[in-house]
Amino acid sequence: MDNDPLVLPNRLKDTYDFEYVIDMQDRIYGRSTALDLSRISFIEPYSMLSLLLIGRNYLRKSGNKLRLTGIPINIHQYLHRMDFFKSGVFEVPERLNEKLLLKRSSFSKRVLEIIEIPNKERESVRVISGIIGLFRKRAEHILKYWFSERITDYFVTLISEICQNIYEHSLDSGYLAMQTYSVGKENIVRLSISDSGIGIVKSFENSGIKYDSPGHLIELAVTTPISSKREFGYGLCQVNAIVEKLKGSIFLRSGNASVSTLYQKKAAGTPFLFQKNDLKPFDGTQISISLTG
Amino acid sequence: MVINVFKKAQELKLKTPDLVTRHVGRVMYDAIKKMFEAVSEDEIVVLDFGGIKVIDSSFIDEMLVRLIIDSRTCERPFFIRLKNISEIAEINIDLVFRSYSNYKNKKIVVITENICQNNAFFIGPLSDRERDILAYLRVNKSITVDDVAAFTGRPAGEARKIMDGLYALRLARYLDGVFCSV
Repeated sequence: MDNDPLVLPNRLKDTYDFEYVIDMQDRIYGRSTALDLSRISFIEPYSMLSLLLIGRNYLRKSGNKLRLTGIPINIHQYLHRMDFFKSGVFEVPERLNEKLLLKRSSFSKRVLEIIEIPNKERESVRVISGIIGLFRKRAEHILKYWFSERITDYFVTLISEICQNIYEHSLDSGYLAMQTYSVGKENIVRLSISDSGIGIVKSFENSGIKYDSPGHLIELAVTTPISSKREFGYGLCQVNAIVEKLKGSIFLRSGNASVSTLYQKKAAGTPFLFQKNDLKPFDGTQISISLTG
Repeated sequence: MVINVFKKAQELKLKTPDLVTRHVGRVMYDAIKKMFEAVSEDEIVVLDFGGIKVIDSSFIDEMLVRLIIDSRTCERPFFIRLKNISEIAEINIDLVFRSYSNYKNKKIVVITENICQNNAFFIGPLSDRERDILAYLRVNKSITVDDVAAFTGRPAGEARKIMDGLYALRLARYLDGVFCSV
C-alpha cells in the first residue's frame, strides 16, 4: 500500500467521463489508501454514486476505509449536502466548518440526496415508497423546466422500475440520487441509480437468452421484455419506453459493457443507440437517465 | 360492483397516490379477490382508479393481469372495466399487456370507461376488426352475430368466431343469445 494519495482527475463531470476513473480502479484497490480530490471542480450524480461504489468496494476488499483528501470546499459542501459521507465508507480527515455547510432549506428542493436501496424486498418497498413521496414533494423544483404532472408521473415510474431491479436482480443494495443542474446554457435533470451487485450478464446466466456480447445483452434487456427471473419482464423495457416518450437519454453500464440511448437524436433520424463492449469491468449495474434542454 | 382502488389502498394502509412494486400489487390483489366472492355470474366489476396516479408494471402484473385471468378462468365468469385511469397508468398497462400478449401468445385486453390515448375504450392489443366491432358494440349496447356479419361484411361463421373470441377475452358479454357491451 502506498500512502501517497492517488490524484483523481477532473473527470466527474459526466457519465462518459467517469470511465477514466473506472480505468484507475486497479491502482485504487491495489496500492492506494487515499484519493486526492483537489482537482475536482464538479460532480454530477452518476459520478458521485459511482465514486461511492468504489469506496464501498474498497472497504469490502480491504477492510479499510478509503481516505479522501484535498476536497475543494465547494465539492465538500456539495458531497456533504448530498449525504455522500453518510454511508460511512470513506475516511475524511478534513472536517468541513459548520458555518460552511449548505442549508437544506434553500437547496434541498432541487435534489434527491443519496438514498440507499436495500436488497431485501420488504425493506426496499418501504424505501421506494419514501423516495417517491419525497420526489413528488420536490418534483416542481427538481424537474424545474420540465415540470408537469405528466412528467412527474413518468419519473415516478422510472424510479419505481429501476429501484425494484436492485433487490430483484442485483443481490446487493444500491443507491439513488437525482438533481437538476446547469452546464453552460444547458439545463440537465439527472436520475442515477447504481448498485455493485452481480450485474446483468450474471443475472441472465441461466435464462437461456442468446446474445452476441455483454453490450448486446444489455441492449436486449433495454429494448425487449426479457427477464432473468420470469418468463418475460417489463422493467428496463418499460424504462426505455418512457425515456423515449420524454426524449431523454439513458446510459446503462453493467460489468464491462454499456448501452446509451439518445432519444433526442432519434427524431433527427441519426443513430440513437450505442453499445460498448470491452470496457474496464466495474461491479454491478449503473443507470443514468437525463433530460437536457 | 364498483371497487374504489384509492379507498381500498387507504384501507390497506398502502401509500397513495402511487401504487408500485410487486408486493403492493399482491396485497391489493388479495384484498380485491376476497371481494369477488360476492360477484355474481356475468357481473361487471368496475375498478375505479380515481385518485391513483402511477401504477407500475410490477403492480399491474401482480394485480390487474391476475384479476383479468381470474375473470376468464373462474367458475362464475365476470367482466372487468377500468375507470379513471391516469395517462401514465394507461401507458404502463398497455406496455405490460403487449409484452404479455407477445410472450404468452395469449391476448390480454381490458375495457375502459373513459376514452384512451388509442382513441378507443380499451387498453391492449386488438386487431383493427376487433377494435371496430368493440366500438360498434359499445354504441349499440347489444348485438347479434348477424349484426356483426352485416357490419363487417364477413360470413356469419367468421363473425361468430370473432365474437366468441371477444367473449373469451371478457370484452363482450353473452346474455340470452346476444352479445352485450361491458
